Amino acid sequence: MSDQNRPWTWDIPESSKKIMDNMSRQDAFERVTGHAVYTRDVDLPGMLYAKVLTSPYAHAKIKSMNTENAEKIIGVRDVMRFDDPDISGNRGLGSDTGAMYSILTLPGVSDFYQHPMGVAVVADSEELCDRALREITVEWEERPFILDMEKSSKPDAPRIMPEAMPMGAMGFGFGMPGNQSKGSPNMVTTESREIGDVEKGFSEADTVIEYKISRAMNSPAGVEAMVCVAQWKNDFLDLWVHHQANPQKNLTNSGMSMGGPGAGMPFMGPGFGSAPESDLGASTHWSKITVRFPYQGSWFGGLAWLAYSDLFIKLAVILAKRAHGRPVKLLYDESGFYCGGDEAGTYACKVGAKKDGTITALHWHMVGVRNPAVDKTHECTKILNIKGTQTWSFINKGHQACFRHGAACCVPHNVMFDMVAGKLGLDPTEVALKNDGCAGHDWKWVTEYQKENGFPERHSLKEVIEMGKKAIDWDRKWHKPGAKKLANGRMHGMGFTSINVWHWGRGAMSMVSNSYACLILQEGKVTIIGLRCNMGTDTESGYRHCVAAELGFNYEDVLIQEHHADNSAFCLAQPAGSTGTVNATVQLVTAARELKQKIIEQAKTMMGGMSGFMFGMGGPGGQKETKQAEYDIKDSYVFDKSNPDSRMPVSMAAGGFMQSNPIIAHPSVNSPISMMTNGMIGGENYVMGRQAHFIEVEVDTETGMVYVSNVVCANDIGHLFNRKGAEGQQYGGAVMGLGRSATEEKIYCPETGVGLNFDHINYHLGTMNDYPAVSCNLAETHLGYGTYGAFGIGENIGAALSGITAGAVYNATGKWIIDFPITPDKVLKALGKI
Amino acid sequence: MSDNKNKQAEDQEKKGAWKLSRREFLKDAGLVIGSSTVGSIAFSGKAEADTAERAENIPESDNSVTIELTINGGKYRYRVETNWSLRQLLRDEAGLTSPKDWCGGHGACGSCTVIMNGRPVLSCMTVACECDGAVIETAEGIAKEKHPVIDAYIKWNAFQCGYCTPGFITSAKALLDRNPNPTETDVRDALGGNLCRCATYQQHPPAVLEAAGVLRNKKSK
Amino acid sequence: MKTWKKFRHVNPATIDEAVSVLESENASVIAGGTDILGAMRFEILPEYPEVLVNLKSIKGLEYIKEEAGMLKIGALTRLEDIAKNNSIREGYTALAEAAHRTASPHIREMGTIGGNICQLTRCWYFRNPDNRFNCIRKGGEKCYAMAGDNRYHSIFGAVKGCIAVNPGDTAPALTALNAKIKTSRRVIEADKFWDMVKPGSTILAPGEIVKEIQVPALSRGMKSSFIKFAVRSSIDFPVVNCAALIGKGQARICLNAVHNMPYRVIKAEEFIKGKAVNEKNADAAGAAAIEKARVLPGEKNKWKIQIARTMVKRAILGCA
Repeated sequence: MSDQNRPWTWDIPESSKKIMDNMSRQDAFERVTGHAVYTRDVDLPGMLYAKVLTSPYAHAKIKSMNTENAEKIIGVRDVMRFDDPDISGNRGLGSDTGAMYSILTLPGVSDFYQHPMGVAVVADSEELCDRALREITVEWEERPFILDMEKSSKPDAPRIMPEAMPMGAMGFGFGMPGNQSKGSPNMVTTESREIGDVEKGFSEADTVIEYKISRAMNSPAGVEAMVCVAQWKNDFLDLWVHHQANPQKNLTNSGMSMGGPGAGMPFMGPGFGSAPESDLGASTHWSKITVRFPYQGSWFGGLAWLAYSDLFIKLAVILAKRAHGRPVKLLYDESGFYCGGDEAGTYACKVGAKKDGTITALHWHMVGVRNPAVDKTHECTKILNIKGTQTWSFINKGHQACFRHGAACCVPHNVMFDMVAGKLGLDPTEVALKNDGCAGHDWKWVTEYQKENGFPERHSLKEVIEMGKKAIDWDRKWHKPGAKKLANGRMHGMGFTSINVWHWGRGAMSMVSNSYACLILQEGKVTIIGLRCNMGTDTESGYRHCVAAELGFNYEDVLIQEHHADNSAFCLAQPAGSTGTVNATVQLVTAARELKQKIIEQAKTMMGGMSGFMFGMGGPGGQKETKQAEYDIKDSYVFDKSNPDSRMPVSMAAGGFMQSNPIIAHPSVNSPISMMTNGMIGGENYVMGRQAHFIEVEVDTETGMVYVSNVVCANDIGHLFNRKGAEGQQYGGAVMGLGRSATEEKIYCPETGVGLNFDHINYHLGTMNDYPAVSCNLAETHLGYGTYGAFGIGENIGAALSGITAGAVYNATGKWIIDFPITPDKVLKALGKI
Repeated sequence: MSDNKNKQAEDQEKKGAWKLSRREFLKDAGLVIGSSTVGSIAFSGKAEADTAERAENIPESDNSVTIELTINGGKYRYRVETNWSLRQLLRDEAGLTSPKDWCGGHGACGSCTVIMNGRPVLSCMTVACECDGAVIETAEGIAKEKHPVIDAYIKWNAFQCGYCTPGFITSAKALLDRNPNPTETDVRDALGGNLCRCATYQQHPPAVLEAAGVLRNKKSK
Repeated sequence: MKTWKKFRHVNPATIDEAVSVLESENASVIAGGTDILGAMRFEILPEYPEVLVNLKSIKGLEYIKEEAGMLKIGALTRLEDIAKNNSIREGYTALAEAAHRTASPHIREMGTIGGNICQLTRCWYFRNPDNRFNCIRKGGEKCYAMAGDNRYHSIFGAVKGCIAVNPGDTAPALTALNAKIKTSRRVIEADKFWDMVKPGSTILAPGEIVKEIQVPALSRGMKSSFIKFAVRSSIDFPVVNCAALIGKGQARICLNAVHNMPYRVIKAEEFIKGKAVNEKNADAAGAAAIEKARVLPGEKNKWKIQIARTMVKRAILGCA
C-alpha cells in the first residue's frame, strides 16, 4: 500500500524500465569536448588572480615576514598578511562535522607541510602572483611536530597545534565524553561505547583473535585543485565555487547551519564571509548572493577537503571585498595533497567467535578520527556484544576527517570476517552471512520487520553474495590459503569483502531540508530547477528519469537546468554524489505528481473535457480527484483513459497555458519527523541493504607485487534510477578502493615532516593498465527508505574495497598483512624474503 | 644536458663577451632584435598586467617573441613571453578550456594533452615560443570536425566528472590518426599516461575501438 | 599551475652556436623539455637557468640509422620513435623495451634519448619544490634521505655522500649494450658516462652537448633484454630496472635505480658467462648480483635488494 510518508512503498511507474534502456547524459558533449567550464576555467573581465603562501614546515610560526618587494611589483594589487586586521582571527570550523576545533582562514602558524597560510597575494596574472610570493621573505620559528597519532596521544607529548584549540583539549568541552585532563595535550576527543557485554561475549567464544590493523594516510588527489572566484558589486556577491555543497555553512555566523558540509540550506544566512573578530563588511542578505557551481572536477576528499575548500571560499570572498568590484580568482597550485587522510589510523582488534563462525564479541580500539565500531558493524550484523573505543589527537599532517562515516569502519569490519574465517578454516563469505543482521537482530527478526513495514521480504547480503560469487566463480576458485600456484609462478588468491550500504534513506530527514525542487513545464518540456553540484556522477540523469517516469513523459522531454544560479532559492540534494539520488528523488516525485495533476487539468480544458474546471484548483489530494482520474499521461501525451485515441501532446497543453505562463510545481514535503523513520515518530530504522565485492589476485613472491586480475562488485542499490551512473560508481569506486588498499599513501619525511610524494609521479594512482575491467552487478531489493526503496551507492565501494586485498593476499600466501597500503616491501617481509 | 655554471664572477665576466656573440647569433638565426634592454619590458609587470598592451608595440626580445601556429585548423599569430607554456597560450590567449591542469605541471597526468604536429604532447611541459609553425589540435577542434571519438566517448560513458576527458580525447585521436586499426593493447598503451580519478578506465578501450571502426567504415565507403 | 620564472630562450642553428651560449651564460639546454621544465617549474635547481638553449632548432639531430655495424641514434630522437622502431625492437631489444617502458606515452612522444640519459635524479629530497632541501647534490652539507625516508634510494652505498639513484630506463640498456655517447667534444663509453656531478648525473662538461648514441650491433647468438619493476605499468620511474646482453660466452648486465649511476653487476656477469641461461643459473646470478648490496639506515630500502636480485634473474632469463 502506497503511503505518502513511506517513499519505499510508492508505486514504481511502469515506464521506468523502458526509460532506463536509453538515458542520454545531458552534459556529455560539453564534458567530453572540453567546452565544459569548471571553476578553474572561469574567466571574467578584469579578473584578478590570487595565491597563498604554503608552509615549507610541518609546524612553524612566522616570526617575521617582509612583503615589501612583493608589494612593489607593478601588477600586484594586494598583499594580505595573516596579521592584517581584515583576516587575522578569522576562523573556519574544524575539519569534522562536529567542529571539534577551529582553524584560521589565514594563520600565521603552519600546522602541516604545505599549509596554505601566512600571506595571500592578488595580482593581474598567475605569473605575477608566483613572482610576488617568491619575493616574500619569511623568518620562521620551527616548532616541534608529530606525525604519528599514537605518539601525539601520549600525555607527555609536546603540544603541536595550540592555536587550533586555544584552551587545550581539556578546556574545550563539546560534551564529548573523555575530554579529561589525563589525556594528551593534543587530544581532540576520546570516545567509548559498548553495546551488550563484551567481556561476557569473549568468555562465550571458542576462539579469541587479536590483531592490529594500521593504515597510512592517503590523499583525495582530486583532479581540480582548490579554486574559488568571488566578485563583489557593492553589496552583491557573486561566487563561483569548487565545492560539493552550498558554501554558506562554514561561512556564516548565523549559526543556522544544518547537518554536515553536505547539507546545503536553500538560503544564505547573514554574516556571510565575516567573523566577529574581523568584520570587513563582507556580508550581505542572501538574496544578493549568487552562488554558481560550474562543472566540478572530482576530488573525493570527504570532509577534510570540504572544510579546507570552505576556508578557501572564505578567503576569496574577503580578498574580493578588498578588490573593489574586480573579480578575484583564488587558486591553489597542486592537487591538494595536504588535506585528506580519511581512514588513517590504527585499530587494535579483538574478536571472539564460535567454531561455526558466529562472532560473540568484538572490541576495536582506534587511534584515528572516528570510532569505527559503533556505526557500521552494529548496523549490519547480529553481533550482540560490540565495543568501540577511540582516541583522536592532532598530528602535523593536515587535518583529517573521515571519508564519510563509513570508510574508517570498513577495514576492521572486513578484516574481522577474513580473520575469523582464516582462523577457523572457513570460507569468509559464510562467516559474513552467518553474522548478518541489523543492529544485533538476526535476519529472521528483520524479515518480520520487513513484513510489518511495507518492505519486500528479501535478504540483501545473500543476494549480493550469490550474485558476486557466480560472477567470479567463487565456489570453484576459492581455496585454502597458499594452496594455488599459477603457471606464471605467482600465487593465486581470492578476496572478499561485504558491508552494508551507506546511503540507505535515513537521509529522508535531510532530503527535506536538503532538497527544494522546482519543476517547470514550458515549451513542452519539463525543466528541473535547483542548485546542485554537478560533479560528474550523473545524478542528473537519474533525476530526469525519476521525473519523466512519474509524469509519463519521454525521458528527452525532461531536462535539468544547467549553469544554474538563482540565489539558491531552489536547491537539489547535496552532496550530489553520494546521496544525491536517494535524497532528492522524494522531493522530485512529489513535485512530479503535483505537476502531473496540473498538466492534466490544463489538458482537459484544451481537450474539451470537463467544463467549468478552474486553473489551480487541482493538486494532489484535491477534491477533483475522481474526475481527473479519467486522464493520464504517457509518452509525453495526455490521453483520455476511456478513449485512448483522444490525446494531446503535452507541448500543446503547455502551449494552451501560454508560453509565458509555465506550469510550476514546487511542493513542500511533509514534516521531516514523519519521514525520517519507519513511519513512526521515534521509530528505529535498519540498514537492510548490502554490498559484496570479490577480487582475484596474483602475488609475485619474488617482488612482492600484488597483481589484481579480476574484480567483481555486487551492490544492492534498492531501486535503480541510472544504470550507467551506478556502474560508474562501482568500477570507479573499486579502482579507488584498490588504490587505497595497495598503492596510495602520503609519505612524510620522519625527520622534517615534509611531504615527499605530494605529486602524481610519486603518489601512485592507478593507470589504465593497472587494474582489470570491473564486473558490475546490481541487485534491486527495494529495501531502502528512499524513493521506491532506493539506496545510494556513491562512495560506498571505494571505502568498502579499501581493505579487500588483505584477505586476498592471505588466501594467496597464507600470510596476513594488515598494514595498508599493502606494498611490495610489506609482502616481501611477510614472506620472509627480506 | 649540461651543467649549470656555478661561479658567479666567471659568469659576469663572460656576459660581456656573450652580448656580442648573442647578437651575431640571433642575426644568423634570422630574428630581429629590438633596441630595448633584454627582459626589461617583460619584467616591468606592465606588459603582463594588461593583455591589450602586451601585443604588437612591444619589441621582440629574448623574452618575448612572435609565433605563428595553426590551432584547430585556424592560423594564429601571437606575441608570447618565452616563459609561457603552450597550455597558457591555448587557454589565456586562444580562449580554449580543454587543456586542463590536474597534476600541477609535473607532466604526470595527461589532462593537458594536445596534439602537436601529430604527436600527443603535454601542453604544460611545452614552451609556447617553441611552437612556431606548429599544428595544434585540441579536444574542441576534434569535436568541431565531428570526429567519431566524441560520439563513442559519449556512448560508452567514458567519463564521469569530465575534467581529464579532453586529455583522453586528444590522446585517443592522435592514436587513431596514426593507427587506424589499433588493438585493445594499442589503445591501453596510448592512454597509459592519462590519469582519471573517477577511474573510468574500462570504458575507454571499447570507445576508442568503436571510433576506429566508424572511421574505417567511412573510409571504405 | 605554477608558472615559470622568466628565462631567455634562444634557438641556435648549430651545435657550435648552442655551445657558445652554454659556455658564456647561466644556461641550460632544452630538448624534449620534460625534465628541465619540471625542474624549473618547481625551482629545484641550485641556480635557475637564465637562458634556455633550444636544441630542437638544430637540424639533423633526429635520426635512427644503422651503418658500419652500428646503430646510430640522433640525440633528439624521441623515445617513442625508438620504442616503435622495428630494427631496434628486433636487433637491440633491450633498448627498444627500455624506451617503451619509460614514463608515459606523452613523455615518450616529447622526451628525447639525449635528454633521457642526462636526466636529473628523482630523489624526493632533491626534487622537493623550491629547493626545500639544500642537499649535498645541490652543494649543501647534508644528505636528507640518509636519515629520512630512503625507501627508493641506493642499495650500493653513497657517492660523495649522496644516496640518490639514477632513474633512467634507457641508461642501463645502453650500458648493457656497450653503447657510446658522442658529444660535441668527444665519444664517451656508456660505462663512464654517468657520475655524480652536482647537481647533474653525467660527466658532461659545462657546455658539452650529446649529439648521438652509438650502439654496436649484436653479433649473432647474442640476445638482449630489459626488465623494469615499478608500482604502476606506466608513468612511474623504476624502483629497479635491469638490462642484460648475453651470448657467445659474454655477458653485460646493468641494474639501474639502485645506485647513483647505472650499476653493472660484474659478479653476476662473471657467473652467467658461458653458462646455460636457465632458471637455476639466472637465480644464482641474481644472488651474486646483490652480494655487495647493503641497506641504508632505517632499512627502508631493503626490499630493493630483493627486487634487484629478481630483476637480474629475469633480465637474464629474458635473453634465453
